[in-house]
Order: sequence, then structure tokens, then C-alpha cells
Amino acid sequence: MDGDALRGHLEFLLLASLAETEGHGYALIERLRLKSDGALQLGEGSVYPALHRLESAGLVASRWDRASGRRKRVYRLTAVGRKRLGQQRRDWDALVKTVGLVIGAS
Amino acid sequence: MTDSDRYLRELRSLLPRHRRRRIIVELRSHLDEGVAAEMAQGVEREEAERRTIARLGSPHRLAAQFKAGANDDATTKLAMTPLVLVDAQGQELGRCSIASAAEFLREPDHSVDLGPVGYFRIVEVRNGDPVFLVAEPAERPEWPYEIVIRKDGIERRRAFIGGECSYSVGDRVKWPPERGQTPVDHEVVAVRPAADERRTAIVIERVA
Repeated sequence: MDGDALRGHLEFLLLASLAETEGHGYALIERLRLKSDGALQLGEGSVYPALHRLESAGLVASRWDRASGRRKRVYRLTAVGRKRLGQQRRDWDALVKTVGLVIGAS
Repeated sequence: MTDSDRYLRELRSLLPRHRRRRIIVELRSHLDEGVAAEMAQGVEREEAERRTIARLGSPHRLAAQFKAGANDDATTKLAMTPLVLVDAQGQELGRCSIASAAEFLREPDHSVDLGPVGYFRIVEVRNGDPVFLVAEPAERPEWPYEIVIRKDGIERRRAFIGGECSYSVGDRVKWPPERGQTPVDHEVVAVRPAADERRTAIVIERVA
């Protein structure tokens, strides 16, 4: 699944990934790739601007981490982000259900 | 100079000055990790760099995405700028978290939770540096106390607070107690029924 298919859903995926645990950009990309069994091939360049947008919107917060000897920007979900994720999950479930009814998915 | 260096140098030249440092450090880390992962699979360094850079996309496209995000709406400005809550007279009430800033613009009447200080309602956003949010204490009927600051003989209500308070005249308190500010010693100068006669007013004055 390429980046175009994910258009509009990247922020949702990042929020969902951060709901599990905090992480830096590269780790989040890897996490999404592994969780999708390699099906998600993110345009890696789009992940960082998306994380910055989420932070600007108050949905994630970040800090520098130097634990591994290399400076990494680690992101975590905020309370506002968690609330938004819950809403997006409900919207997604409703969309899947509706589309399933129309196309006749079992 | 490596390909990663050249990539980052070009990207840096395309980014807004005030955002360069963070983005470049962040992407340097990404490139280092990506190259290391490729090399761990047996890929030569040069090829590992080429693959990692290719996955990030061109510097022009990446810079454009960062710029587009920055221009999305005014909330970005709020996210990067200290937010100072002031009352109608311009007196500082407190500072609020960056994380919740976006909500203020979307909901002008949003109550700002200043933790132990109480709740405020935003009545105006004054863009600038810092951004000032004009606020007034929001009604919290269930909270039994209000903090009143006396300065030059003039009293101003600052916050409603919940929980149990056991302040007596002469007690020292730190104000504002909110994170991100420098608390200043105040002394409780009066504990009396509040103007609404439902609450207890705790009147404090800055210690000289």
C-alpha cells in the first residue's frame, strides 16, 4: 500500500501508533511497517511534517532524548490527541461499516 | 561530505530559519538510523545512504511539506509561542500549556484548565510574541474557594479552586502555583466570605 492510498490517514495512523507508547519518527515508521506486515510503505518524508502538524495542533507533544547517544525527538500522545484518536476510531468504524454495506462485504 | 550531509545542507537552505535546527537534527537522526539499518542488512554504506535518502524524498518536496504544515492555520503560531493569560487590565493570570493551545482558537469560550489555579475562559486572542490570551475566571459553582490578589489596595479575583483549603491569615503561599511560571511568595491577608456569599475568599498579597 503506497503513500497515496494513505492520504488523509497518516495522522490517524501516527496517533494510533503513539497510543501504544511514545516514539521518535524512525521508530514510528518501523512500528507501522511491522504492524502492517510490511503492507504500509510510508513516504518517510511525509511522516515528520505530519508529526509537526500534530504537535502544532496539540495532539502530540515532544521532547529531545539523548539516551542512545544520538539526539532524537520523541513524541507522545497528549490528552487532546487521545480524545481525537477515539473520535477518529469511531469515524473509521462507521465508514468501514457503511462502505461494507454498500459493497456487500461480509 | 557524505550524501546525507549534502541532503541536509540543501534541505536546511529551504527551511524557514526558525525551524531549521530542530528539523535538521531530527532528520540527521533519521538518516543515521536508516543507514545503520541498511548496513546491518549487508548493504554498502554508499548504497545505504542512497536508499535512505530516496525514502525521505527530495529536499524540495520535504521542505514544502514542512512549510505547508506551518501555514495550515494560526494554531501553529500559538504552538511555537509562549502563551500568557491576562485579564482585561493586562495583568498576568498565568501561562497555559502549548499542547492545549490549538483548542483556544477553535473554541473562543474554551475554559483553560490551569490546574491548581482554576479555570479561565478565553475571551480574546491577541496575536503577537508572546501571544496573549485575554481571560476571565470561569464560573465553577462546585468549587468552594476563590483566590483574590490584593495589590496597591485593589483586589482582583484570580481563580476559583476546588478541594480543601486550610489557609489562615499569615500563611505564606506561592503564587502563581501553575507550572511554567516563577512562583512568588504571597501572604494570606484575609479569609472571608466571597462576594457571592457562596464561596470563601482567600485574599493574598505579594510579600515585599
